[in-house]
Parts: sequence; C-alpha cells; structure tokens
Amino acid sequence: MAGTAGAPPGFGAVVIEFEAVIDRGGFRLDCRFASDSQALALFGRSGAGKSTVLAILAGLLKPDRGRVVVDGEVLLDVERGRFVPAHRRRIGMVFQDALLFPHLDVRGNLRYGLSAASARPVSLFDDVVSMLGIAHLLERRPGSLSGGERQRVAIGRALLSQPRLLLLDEPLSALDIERRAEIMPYIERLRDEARCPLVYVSHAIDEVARIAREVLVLDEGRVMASGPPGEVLAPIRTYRGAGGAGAEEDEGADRADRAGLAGASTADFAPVSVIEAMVQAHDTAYGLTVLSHPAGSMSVPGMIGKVGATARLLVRSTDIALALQRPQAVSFRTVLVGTVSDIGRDAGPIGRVEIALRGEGRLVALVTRQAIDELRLQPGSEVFAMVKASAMDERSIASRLASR
Amino acid sequence: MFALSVDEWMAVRLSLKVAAVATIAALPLALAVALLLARGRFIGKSLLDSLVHLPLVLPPVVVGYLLLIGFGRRGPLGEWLESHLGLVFSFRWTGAALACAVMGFPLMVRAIRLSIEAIDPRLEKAAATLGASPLRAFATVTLPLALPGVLAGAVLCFAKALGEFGATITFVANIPGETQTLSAALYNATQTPGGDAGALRLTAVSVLLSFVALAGSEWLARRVRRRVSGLS
Repeated sequence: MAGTAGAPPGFGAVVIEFEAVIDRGGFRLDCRFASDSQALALFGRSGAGKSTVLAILAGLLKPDRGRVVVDGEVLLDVERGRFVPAHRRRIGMVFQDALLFPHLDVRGNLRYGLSAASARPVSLFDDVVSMLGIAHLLERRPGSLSGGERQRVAIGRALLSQPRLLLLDEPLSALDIERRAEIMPYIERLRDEARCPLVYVSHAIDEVARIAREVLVLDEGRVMASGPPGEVLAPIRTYRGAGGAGAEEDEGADRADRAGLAGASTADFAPVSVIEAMVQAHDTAYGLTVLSHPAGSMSVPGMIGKVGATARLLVRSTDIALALQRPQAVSFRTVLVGTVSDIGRDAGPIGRVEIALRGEGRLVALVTRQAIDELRLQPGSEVFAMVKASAMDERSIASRLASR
Repeated sequence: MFALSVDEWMAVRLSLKVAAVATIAALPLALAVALLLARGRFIGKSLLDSLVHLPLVLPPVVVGYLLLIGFGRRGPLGEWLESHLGLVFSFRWTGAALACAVMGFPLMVRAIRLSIEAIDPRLEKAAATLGASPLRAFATVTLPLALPGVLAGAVLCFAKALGEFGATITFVANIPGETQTLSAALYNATQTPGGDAGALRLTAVSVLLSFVALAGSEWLARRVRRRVSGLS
C-alpha cells in the first residue's frame, strides 16, 4: 500500500517498512506494512498491538523476528543481528501520559532533545513554542500544568529533537473530551506544518478520521485493513469476517459487535465516513455553517473554517437515515443524494448500506435489515441520506484542511 | 562541666572524620548496587540483596570479627592491600572507617534504591527517544531525580557511622587518638570511676549530632517527594 496517500509537495516522503513477529505468553503480534504517508494512523482497540508496533519502531522493544527500515536505514533486522538503539534512531515519541521530566521546567524539558541533536536553525525553538502555544508556560514545572498543556509540551519536546519520524501513542486518551478538542488543532498543525511525518496510534475513530491520511486497522496483532480513512474507517463488512483473523468467533457474544453498534472489538467498530465539502456560508443568526457538496448542502453547528475552504466531515454510520424520495418537511438539515453501491448484511438485525454520493465520496449507513428489505434497497437504488446536524459538531470537523 | 576535655574533643573529631570518610567512600559503590537492585534483572539478585543487608542483621561484633579476619594484617585481603596499595586497616582510623562503611552500607543502598524505584522507568525511555544515551539518561534524568534520596542515604550512613561501636571496637580496638571514636570514648568513660561527667558530655554531643543528621535526612526525603511529583 506504499504510496496510496502520497506525500504532499514540500515534504520528503519518509518510507517505513515494518515487519515484526512477537509470540509470547498469550500475546501475538504478526504485523507487516509499508507506508510513505505524512500521517499514518494505527487504529484498533486496546490490546490490538498498536503500541507494541510503536515501541518496536522507536527501538524500545525487540521483536522475536522482524525487520524495520525507516528512510532507507535498516534500524532492526533480527535475522542479521542488527538493532539500532532508541537514542540513535532519530525517532521521536509522544507518550500517552506525556512523561515530562519532573525535575526540569518546561524550557528544560523542551531543550532536552535539542542539545543531543546536531546543528539546527536558531529559530526552531521559537517556531515550535509558538506553533504549540506554550510560550507562557516555559518557566513552569510539569506538575503545575494541565493534562492538555503537558501533552503539548511533550509534543514540542519530541519535535525539538528533530526526529525524522514522530510517533504519537494515544496522546489524547488520558485527557477529557474538552482537552482533546483543545489539542486536536495543534496535532493537525503538526501534521500540516512540521516537516516530520506522524505515526498516530489511537482507539478513537474520530481522532483517526481527523488526523490520518492513511489508516492501518489492527486487531489481535494483525493488520486487518489499510488505506485512506474514507475507505478504511467505513467498511461495508466487518474486518473480522473479511480478514480471516480471529478464527474462533463467538456467535452469540459478537452479535452486537457485528451489528456495528458496540465498539468492543476493533474489527467491528461502528463505521465513520469521511466526506469533504466546501464551506459555503456562515449563518450567524442560527449559528450554523453551511457546506456545499455535489450531493447536497450540509448544515453543521458552529462557525467552521473560512468560506471557500474545504472541510473534512466525519459522519457516523449510526447518525444516518435513508429515504427513497427527497424528504419533505423534515428536521434533518443535511440531505445527500447518492446511489446504493453495496449492502453488507448477515444474520444480525443491523445491516450496512454503502452509498456512492453524487459527485464524490461515499457514506456507510447502519440500518435495520428489516428496513433494507422494506425499502427494497439494492445496489443501484437512488437514496437520500439524511444526516442529523447535531451529530456533526465541531469536534468531528477538521479545522484545517489539507487532505490532498 | 560543659567543656569537653582534650581527649573527648579528639574522639568527637575522629568520629566525624571516620564517619565522613566512610560515607564518601561507600557512596559510589552504594549507588551502583542500588541501581543494580532497582533496575537490574539478573540471576542472584536476591542473593546480592541479602548480602547487602547482612550487616544490618548480623551482630556488629561478628561483622568486626569478620573484618579482622579478612582485613587484618595477616588476613588475605589485608595482606594484599598492604603490599599493593600500602593501605593498612588494622588498628588504624582507616579500619574504623571501613567498619563504619560496612555497617552503614545497607542503609545507604536502601535509601538510594527506594528513590530510584520511585522514578518512572519510562522517563529513561522518553530520554532515549530524545536521543539520550543510557549514560546520559542516567546522569540527566535518573540521578537528579534520585539525588535527594542519595543524600538522605548518605546522611543515614553518616549517622550510623557516628554511632558505630561493636564492629569498630572488635576490628580496630579502642586506641585514643587513632581508633577511639565518640562511642568508644563514652564506653571508656562509663567504665572509669568518676567518668560520669565526661560520659554525659559525650552523650549530649552524640544526641545533638544524631538529631541534626536525622532532621537533615527528613528534610531531604520531603524534597524527594516534591521533586518527583514535579511541583517544585
């Protein structure tokens, strides 16, 4: 899948080739991928092996077998006995709980990696500090910072060591929802402005959909799917069935998962579609942003982006209703027209309907199997997808759009 | 009444010298052993742990006697040290320092080990991802964070050395001006008719020194907690 997302102009593509096997005491990782994406996300539930992959990339963990090549340099080759230790890899890492050095102030933390690296532009420190908005924190001690501030300092510290690759291991999962919303724009800036590709690990699908240009879905230590978020995060069938891993399926217990309603298993997460639309106008009276898409206009709460900008919208499959005719007198503010392109169903009560939107983009909706039959939905049917505006709040909308 | 006699002063000064030398000499080894016990994973770790703690539970006289056998003029180690390094322990103040160092060692290792164990080992990993070699990570992260614990351990060892009696007197006897430390002088005074005043004076000095050492250790321990929590 190398090259699927492509690096935007101005960035030298860093290629990662990864292959690792770990088999010890109940935990098994057998993972292989290659990517040159500027923002690769590893998505999966906890225990799926995401953090293990990062630790192997960073050089903090040696797999039983495997080979890791970053930017043409072989960092690990177990068969040939090659192992470059973490401190010589130039791979930065942001940990879930920041791990700032408690005996140093913020400035000391930021400078920690600076001295170890070679010559650098003088302005780098100031640039990173202003990008992350931490200038006012420089004299503070880590213990006095909020979780969000700590995480921003940790990102700055990692960036200042000038890594060729920056790994983020669930950087938001220790934060509450508001702190997450506060940090997300900084991570997007990081992706768009820092000249360093990201590998982002998360079990939160909206984070992944917002940040990633390319997604690897991991489950039980294996890569279940890979590709751009618009495709990978809204699968028409669960990866468990398609991927062939997790051979011993438990019929009854997995029924709810399979329906896509519960997030207990990675392979069976509720799909999230990613649509790109242009900001058309801001309705200040009602506090809505109106976006245009060939399939119809969309209304989203909040004042988002500038007119003319492209916004990336995340639409949860559970928030979509389908109609065969254009609905009249209905509270839904967003109605998109498209054609059913695929239907995924099994014995469970809920099925998945994939819709190719007029123009471009695809949506996956979760509807009852009964509704699929009653509406006689089949590939080729024209449908109107209604999306609840309240479901698309600001948090699910990328503020800066550079997904090309 | 309150003024110390010449001999008493000598004993106090000697005690301070012996304790200081014992503490400083034991520190590097204690640091290494504490690091090994806190972070290392190796076969025989619990054996090393027991060995380090042995002086804490053995009768001091036994430790002194073992030192006498090992480090005496005819002892295997004593002989080698004398002929190769010119270092003589038996019946010298250096011997008293050695005995004190051995007795204080477990306390020092324990304090340092606890302070190292209180440090999140992932901080060292974070340092590695920032380009710091293991040595640099130790010097710039682990050691500064453990420093108050190291100092507290040193204070404890110093205090223990000041009060050491059994091992010292067994190993290097009770020679005024050479090996007669505060405790030994105090013991002498109690065995001498009319020595009560001297014994009381030495007792007062001893209580004062121990109190200062303990207060210092407590103050440092508080700083460890603040420092590791990142609030100060």
